Amino acid sequence: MTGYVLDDLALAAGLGAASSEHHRRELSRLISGAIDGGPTLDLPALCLAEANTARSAIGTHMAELIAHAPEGTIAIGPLARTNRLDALRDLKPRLPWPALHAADRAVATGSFLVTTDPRRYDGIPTGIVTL
Amino acid sequence: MATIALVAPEEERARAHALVRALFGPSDAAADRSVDVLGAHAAALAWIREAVGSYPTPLPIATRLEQVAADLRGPGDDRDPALTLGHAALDALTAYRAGS
Repeated sequence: MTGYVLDDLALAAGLGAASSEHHRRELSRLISGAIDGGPTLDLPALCLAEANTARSAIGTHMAELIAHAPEGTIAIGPLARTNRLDALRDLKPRLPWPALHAADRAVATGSFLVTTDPRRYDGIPTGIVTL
Repeated sequence: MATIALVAPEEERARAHALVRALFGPSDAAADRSVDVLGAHAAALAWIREAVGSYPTPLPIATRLEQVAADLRGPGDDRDPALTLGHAALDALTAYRAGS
């Protein structure tokens, strides 16, 4: 398995001001697993920015974590104009940008997209799993 | 001349784990179970993709696997996630092909 892309809803569920303890612990396990050689984690930059509005300093904490985790295990994913991004926008014109970014990263990397709202991504050509 | 302090990989890994515990708290049995289910769900979707030939996963199959994954996270459900979702994937694919 290549890894997981965490969308803004998954990040907010585990890290936001109103996050649940269970989701927080799930993220704990996912990140610990990545550090120990399990599936890698991709945090799309726009999803992290969205989560950061729900609870400030999340970005700083994640940067600190990435700086100590083994190289290539946890990363903040970039957004760039590509044919793939254009096609996804055409496919889901009402999808908010953080979600579109998560979908783009999942399709680009072949990773599974982790979310709390799988119906949001109906029709997106990637594997969707629920946190 | 400036020197660069090299930190052993194991020490870095220990620091990373300490940061995870500080930020999120430790995992627990319920979270471990949920993440095991998540991994089995991903494996089932990958198997469906191989069988169907492409993404997206047909909606009836996707919703069936989501339901089984949710059931596996429920209290008192101690079925093996990989086995249960593997069977569910096969059943859902069979039903989908029979209906299409």
